Amino acid sequence: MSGDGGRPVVLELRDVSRIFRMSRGPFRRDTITAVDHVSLRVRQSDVLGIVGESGSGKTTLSKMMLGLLAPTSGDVLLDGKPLSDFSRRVLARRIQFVFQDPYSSLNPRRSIGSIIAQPLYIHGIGTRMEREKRARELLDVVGLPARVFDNAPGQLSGGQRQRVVIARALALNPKILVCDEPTSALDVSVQAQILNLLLDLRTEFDLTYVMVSHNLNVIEHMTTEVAVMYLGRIVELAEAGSIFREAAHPYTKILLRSAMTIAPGGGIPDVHFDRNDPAYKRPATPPLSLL
Amino acid sequence: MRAQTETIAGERQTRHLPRWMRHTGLTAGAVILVIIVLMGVFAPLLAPQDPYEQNLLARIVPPVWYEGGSWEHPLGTDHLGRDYLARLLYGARVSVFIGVTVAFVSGIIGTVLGVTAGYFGGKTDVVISFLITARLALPVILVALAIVALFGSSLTVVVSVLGLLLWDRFALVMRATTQQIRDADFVMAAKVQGASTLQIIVQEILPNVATNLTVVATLEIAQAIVLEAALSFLGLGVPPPLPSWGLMLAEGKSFILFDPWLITIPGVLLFGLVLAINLVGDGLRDVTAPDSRN
Amino acid sequence: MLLDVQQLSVDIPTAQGVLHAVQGISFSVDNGETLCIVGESGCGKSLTALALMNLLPRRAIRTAGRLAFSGTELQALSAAAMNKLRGENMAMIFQEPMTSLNPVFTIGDQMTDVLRQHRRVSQREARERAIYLLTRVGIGKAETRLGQYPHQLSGGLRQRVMIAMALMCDPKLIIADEPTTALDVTVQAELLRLLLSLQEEFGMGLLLITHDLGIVSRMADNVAVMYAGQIVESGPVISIFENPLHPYTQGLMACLPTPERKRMQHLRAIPGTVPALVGQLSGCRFRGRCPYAQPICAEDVALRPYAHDHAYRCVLPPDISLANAAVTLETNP
Repeated sequence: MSGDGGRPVVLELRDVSRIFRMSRGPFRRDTITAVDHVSLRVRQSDVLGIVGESGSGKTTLSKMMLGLLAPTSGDVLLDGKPLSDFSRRVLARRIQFVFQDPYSSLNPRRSIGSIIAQPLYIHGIGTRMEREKRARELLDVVGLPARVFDNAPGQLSGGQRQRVVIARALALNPKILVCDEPTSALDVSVQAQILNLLLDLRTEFDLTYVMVSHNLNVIEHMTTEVAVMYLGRIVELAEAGSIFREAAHPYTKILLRSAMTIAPGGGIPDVHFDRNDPAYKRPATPPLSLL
Repeated sequence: MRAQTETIAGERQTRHLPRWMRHTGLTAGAVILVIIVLMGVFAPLLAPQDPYEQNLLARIVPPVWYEGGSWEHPLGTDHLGRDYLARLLYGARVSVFIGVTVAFVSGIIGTVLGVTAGYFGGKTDVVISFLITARLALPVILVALAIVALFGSSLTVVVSVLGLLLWDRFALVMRATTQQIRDADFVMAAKVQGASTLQIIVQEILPNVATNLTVVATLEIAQAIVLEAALSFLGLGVPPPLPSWGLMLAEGKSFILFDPWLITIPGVLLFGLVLAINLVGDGLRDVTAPDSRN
Repeated sequence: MLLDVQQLSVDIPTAQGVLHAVQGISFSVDNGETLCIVGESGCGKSLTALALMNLLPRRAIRTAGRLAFSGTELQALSAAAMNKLRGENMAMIFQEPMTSLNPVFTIGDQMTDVLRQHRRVSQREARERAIYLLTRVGIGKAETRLGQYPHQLSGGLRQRVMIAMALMCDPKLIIADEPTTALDVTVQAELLRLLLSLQEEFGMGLLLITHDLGIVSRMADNVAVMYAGQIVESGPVISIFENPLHPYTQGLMACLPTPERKRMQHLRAIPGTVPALVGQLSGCRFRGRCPYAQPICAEDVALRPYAHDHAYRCVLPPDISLANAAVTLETNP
């Protein structure tokens, strides 16, 4: 595609599938294909948005990118090398995660300072004093006042907690951040603060984002490319601007129509569709033209 | 540049007043417990007499408030003429020591097993759960009696036997709590940061199960004290002449009809101690789990 | 007037002092009308709904000048009479259907129970009505669904069951508290559409509580914007969205990422967080985050009328406020 400026591919998924086995009773075992032959490329400085509903496989996909789940088949490549070549620690310095729920992702028994310094501690970086200094810098980077350093997570608001989560993710200077619904647990007025912060950090540290969300408006605003997932497959992949102007896939069209944009007196559009209709599972043609 | 500045006008003030003071049961239990522990710790200073010194001329002297009692032996003497108050004070030492050590030993065994089972799940969990079930199938008092009978009774044997038998509740509770925390996002966060399994267990899991651990520990201390008393009562606990409340009950049982205070005094103390520990345990659970009480 | 609420307050005593969760709010809902109460977490919108249903947490204290449903003063009703009214004439739909459906009873049992508690009907009639309503809310094979337990249904289906259950007694008013927040966007759209059409068909009043301005704009006839326990702006939906007068309403509309805004650019965020509502409160609650705050904002502000039924709680005159709104909404620094 045009405009990639020869930027290197930092993260690549090659024909990745993930199958879960569910035991239903002692003798029955079902398999669920959470991710079904997905291929994706993320270039340096890209913001890849992954949109889909619950059960579309977007969370499984992001866990595989982080090496938290191994693919059943296919390869996840980081800088061209398979993820399995990286130790967990080396991986941690390259790719980090921003969680959806800023309440459960911070250990309630630790102070904010120690939460942010924890990655440094785990990696044995610096002395105690140096780690503390770095944690204070990171507080400033994410726009939190220094005085929250000794607070417990419970004393902070949701937005402030999400800033802490972001600061912790930045502690090891990663190149890629995977954000799973980074603002869906927050109020709208706070959502804008966090999205702005993510935009700033991207420019400041030349970060690459993978942003998983069900909120089309957020994805539209924040990303350069969008992958639409349905039942484990990527049904449409396109540049962010274009997908909203000219969606090719019927499921993308349904998603776009279900987005509750502001339309006073506009009523609710009819978005009913037959979930078993194979047309919705089939990728849009030409498939994955971006690659 | 970051344009936003969060003013934190509404920073939630969660100032924790000493809640435990407002919990009647906890306060009452703590007060009794502190008194008994202090009794044990300062026994050498408080005891009017040597607890082992026999005086066969002054056998079964009643306490002061009975006819024939004297301030020389405020709570009287036992069937060997030993000062009853001194023996009670030293007995507090033995009871508290046994309770704490047994809970410590069983706490370590139970926590290691429970956290391992809860964190790893799968086959590990199946094996450890089987161990727990097997342990629950053992009648504690009978096994303890058999072993003490086999190895002879000493403080070490009693502590080891009880310690090796009482870990089940620790294991069950730790397993359940670890299972709840295992999948929390902050554990996943530590994984993403590259933390080792040991680091995750020590830094993320243990601090979050610590309160439950304390609650179980208090209950197990009480349990151990009662079991020691039972063993001693059956003559297979701490060996005489060590003063233990259970042993004192056993020694007093022959005099129950004519000199009932030999039984009632250590009995009441034992009751008070176990009650206090249970009050503290329940109270701690209430206080540390604020959400469940509203 | 179906529901008439005047000066409703909810106070919750806490260890730190009295939490003034709802502070003297007034609104009304007519037959066939949809009123949306919109606000962020902690603004008191959910407690308002619970206060109407008399389902507040035990510690909370409800006071109101008037709390009338079809002309009956709710505050004068006995607990039994309130129970009768609730479920029969006023039904509620909660955010998480799993917690409001009883896991040990089948869908059918729960639905028929609701009806038989309030009406003298046979089991068979109740069953028929349940099947009819399940079909109406778009659940196929309704008869088999009746024998199922809540955990056997997906989130979307459970919420449909909740809606059908709310309709069992033909209520005059439905109070829905974030009914679709936990659901996927396509399911959300289907359910909201269903709610609208059912409301039209049965002529019910709908009090919809949500944080989502998009939903508000599409569902509401009238809107009440709540902030920190007060209604800061209220009026007909078109008027509110075309002429938002309160800086908070303007801020809420400006901070949404929408297709019209430039991508990858800063959104207008509202700085800061909601103030604590404990203890003595005075002045405009929003002044700590308001870009137009002045010294006079430290004094209490009353709701002032702007146009027909449109009122707002701010000292700024409408023309200045609207000029600000234009700035807020159009520029994207």
